[in-house]
Amino acid sequence: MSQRILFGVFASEADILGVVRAAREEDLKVLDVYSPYAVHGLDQALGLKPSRLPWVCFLVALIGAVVKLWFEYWTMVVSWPVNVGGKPWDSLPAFVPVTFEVMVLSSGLSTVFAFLLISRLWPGRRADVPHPKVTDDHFVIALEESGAAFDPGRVQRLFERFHVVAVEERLVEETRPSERSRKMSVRTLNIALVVLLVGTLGLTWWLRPDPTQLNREFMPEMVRTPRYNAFEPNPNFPDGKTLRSPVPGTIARGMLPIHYQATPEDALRAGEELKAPFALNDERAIERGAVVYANFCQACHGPTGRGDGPVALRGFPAPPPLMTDRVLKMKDGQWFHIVTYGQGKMPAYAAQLSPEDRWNVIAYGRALQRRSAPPAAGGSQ
Amino acid sequence: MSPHQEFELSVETPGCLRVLLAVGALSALLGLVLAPARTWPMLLLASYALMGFGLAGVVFIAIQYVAGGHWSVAIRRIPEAMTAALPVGGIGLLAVVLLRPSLYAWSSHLPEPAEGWLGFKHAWLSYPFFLARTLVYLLVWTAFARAIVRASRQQDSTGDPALTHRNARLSAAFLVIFGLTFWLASFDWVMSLEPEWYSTIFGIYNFSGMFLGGLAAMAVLVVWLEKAGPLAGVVGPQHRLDLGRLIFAFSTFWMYIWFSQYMLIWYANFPEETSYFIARRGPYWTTLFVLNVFLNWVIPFFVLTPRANKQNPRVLTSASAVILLGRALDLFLMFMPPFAGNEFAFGIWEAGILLGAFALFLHVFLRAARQAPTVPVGDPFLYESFQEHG
Repeated sequence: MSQRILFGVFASEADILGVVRAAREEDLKVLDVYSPYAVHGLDQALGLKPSRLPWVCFLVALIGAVVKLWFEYWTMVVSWPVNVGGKPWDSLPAFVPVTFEVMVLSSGLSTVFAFLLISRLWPGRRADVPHPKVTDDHFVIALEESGAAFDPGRVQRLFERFHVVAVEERLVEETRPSERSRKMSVRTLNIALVVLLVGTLGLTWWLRPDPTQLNREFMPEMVRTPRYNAFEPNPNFPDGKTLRSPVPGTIARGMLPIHYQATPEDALRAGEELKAPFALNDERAIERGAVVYANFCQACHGPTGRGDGPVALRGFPAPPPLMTDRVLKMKDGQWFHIVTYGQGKMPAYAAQLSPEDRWNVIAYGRALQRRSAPPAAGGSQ
Repeated sequence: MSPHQEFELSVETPGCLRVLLAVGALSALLGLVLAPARTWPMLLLASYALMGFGLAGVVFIAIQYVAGGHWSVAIRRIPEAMTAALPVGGIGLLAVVLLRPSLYAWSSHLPEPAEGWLGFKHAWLSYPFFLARTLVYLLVWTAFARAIVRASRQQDSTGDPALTHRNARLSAAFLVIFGLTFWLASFDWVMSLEPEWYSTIFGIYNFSGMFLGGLAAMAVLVVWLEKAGPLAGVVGPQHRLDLGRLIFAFSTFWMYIWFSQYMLIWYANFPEETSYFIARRGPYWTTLFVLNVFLNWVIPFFVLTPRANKQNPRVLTSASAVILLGRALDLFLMFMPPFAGNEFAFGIWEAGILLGAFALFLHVFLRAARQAPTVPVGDPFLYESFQEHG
């Protein structure tokens, strides 16, 4: 089946808007309007339904944002938590930029593809241009030359009222795109695909890796930065070293230096000066101290502090029980000095125990003393 | 003015405006006596806001001239009249800075550079230099605003297209100078309220809020004057659509800049930078902090997304009113925490001064709008601007 179409060419935006409105008022069937750019108000004049494209844009944006947010949550919290600057795993502000980018990318691309799909545009599609000037500065209305309302004379007068530039009549095949153009477009597409395939294969062959050669480096400045490695000599510093030493007096995090010698006099001095950083009857300190005691002290001092640990039982000189008068009267600070530097046959534990654990174990030692306080008279049972 | 009688502003000054002006003046005067610690920062805020609306008007006109935007010619008298708020707000700002320098902690006690202050900051924040800068910014902006508006009004009688070219050149110069000076001005007037804190994006952040507020005010005024008569038949859905798009874009721009500042400070987590947000996340402030994002972006974004909503005068003004509320809140969050700390307070002084500033803006706007036809009748592009709505 074929269709007779009348094309009217107009020179201005106001004319095309006017002629479209007038034609629709006279019940003429307006098939389409061609214009070089989007004309404001034309879709209303044509009585078109509002485009559904914004919904594609909005929904895909929503889906893109939600999926990306979920993906970031899953990678950063569930699958592979990585500590970044001490931030919580689930750090929403850090997820926002990427979520935003993915949202814009997915909605932008899908809107363009949806537009191409709706308008049936694809590579090789034959352009359907009713008048060459429609790609420049003219506007074209397409009217169906049938129907009760169509009267050539009246249409002519209508066109002239809006300063028509040219009128053209054309017989158009109903089955559009025509068989010939469809075949053409399929052939063009196939050729394009073959060229693409050959090009890709050719490039792959040309750029094939040569295992006897080092990889080619493109812009190597990023990998090979001009810099001094940590242990290389360095002419820029007076001492000729690259690695800098900490500023004199630097204290490592969590360390508080104590200024005592490993002597009994200093142990007594520490007893006067050093105070525990927390209350020694603190439940949690005693609990932690019990663990430390079991790991480091029990072997000699025994499970209850009586100096009957397995090492002592096998003949190593036994330490005095913790419940003797002398030990009971020792100040906490002196204990700390003894745990830190050792005393008599007891070695130093500064290397094994953090200062906090030393205080914890003292808290436990005090707890042991309290537990056996009532029968203090029979210290050596 | 007889040949253009039909374009004269026939809108009476609403009676309630005088009441609001009196309320504002009264609460400012009483507040200065009874609660000076709360009133002075509010006066600074109100002057800055007023000046911002005027400045937004100049920036809008200048952008239109430089970009060759002809759609806005028909509504250009609105931003032109808004520029009258620039000198008024500027005088207020100057008065506050002169009479109450102690608002700026650095003005009385400036720590020595040895206390961790950069030498440059030390030199920059000296009171006489600060006053001189304030004066220079305000004078330069007002001079440009006056020159552009005068040429536009001159065109009403001469219709000389050369005036359009002259204004385009003036506008280009103004935009460059404005970009550099407003950035510094926001550092001086607002950021130095917390002198140890710094954020290099602060100038753009201030600009985005200022321009967004200005556009929202413009949309409300355009719709009001269309309803009330003087712009009826001149302004169409196309003008509202374009204004709505600008508001939509700058609301999103504000959000983008707000978030950029927030995220970088959150990420780097430097104590000297996070202090700003910690002061705004205390009790009471958190709610306002979140509300700010909703008023300035979330609500306008979703309301103004469909095209029909941007063209609908009622929806456009409602969204603009939300943004104006958000503008007040944004400024409140910018100015008040250093003074209030956790003692959040909003009462009669704050509300009275805000209402007074609002009334003063309308009053100044109407007075300026009466001085010229409501449409630039001599502009060669006026016809094209009418054409926009078909």
